[in-house]
Amino acid sequence: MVLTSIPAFAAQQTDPLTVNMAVNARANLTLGVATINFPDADPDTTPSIAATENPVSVTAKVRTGASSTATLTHLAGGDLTSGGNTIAISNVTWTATGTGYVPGTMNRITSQTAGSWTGSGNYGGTFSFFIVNSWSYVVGNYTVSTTYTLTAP
Amino acid sequence: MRRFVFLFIFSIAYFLPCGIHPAFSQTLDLTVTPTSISFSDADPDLTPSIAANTTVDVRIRVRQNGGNNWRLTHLASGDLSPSIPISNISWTVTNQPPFINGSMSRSVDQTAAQGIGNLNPAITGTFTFRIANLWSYNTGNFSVATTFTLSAP
Repeated sequence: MVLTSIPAFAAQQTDPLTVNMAVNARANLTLGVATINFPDADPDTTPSIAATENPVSVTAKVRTGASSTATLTHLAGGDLTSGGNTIAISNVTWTATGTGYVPGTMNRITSQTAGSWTGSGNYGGTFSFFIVNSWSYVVGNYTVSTTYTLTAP
Repeated sequence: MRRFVFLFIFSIAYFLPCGIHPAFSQTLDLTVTPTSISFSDADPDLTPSIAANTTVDVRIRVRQNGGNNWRLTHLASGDLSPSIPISNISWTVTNQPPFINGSMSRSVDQTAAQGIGNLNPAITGTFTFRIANLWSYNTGNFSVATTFTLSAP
């Protein structure tokens, strides 16, 4: 004889609930500073001048497809100018830290890649900027506007 | 007559330890309204937690349950997507107890309400669902089926 205790009257009711979510592409770029400055220096002792603000923090937040590539590009509005004098923008370079960020040289005609990532995420890094120092530069205070563009397809 | 009395007493002595249950069956009622919820796209920096487009009323009633336990559980059939774990969805609910706050799971039934005995008349819990909004979500339109289950004992 086997003594058993079976819950003979177990009851159950179920009802469904469907959960939906839409996720659209979007991008958000944050730079630690909006302006960088190169101080004056002797070209012989300082052939490459670092920006006073180095390193500059950068955060690229993107939502894109799992296999899509988001890109960060940089384009200068022109050469560095002071009155009628100029310093070629191609004398300015940058180094980069952080996943997906890449070093480069500024250009006033063609956008230069500064970073790229596959899939969504929150990507942090830094840029450090340098300018070639030359005896050929005419004295003056030079300025130029440049633009970073973050694109998430 | 003696034989009859003996058989009667023997029968009682035999069957009582065998876990004979009282002859009733639980009556459970479960209604989920509406049967679908949606989370809209939003900027994760501005809206770190997204509320569903509507609250969900879950009405439960338990009758003829004696002194047994009853339980309302919720289980998702999977994640919203590989980049959106279902555990990022949580709920708060009115009428506590018997209803209980919780988070969704695709592997373990999550208790949404529980009690002992009957629950009559019916009681309604109004669920507010929220999802953590992260930059890591890949783009797309995602959907997952989930189920509320009311059971006793």
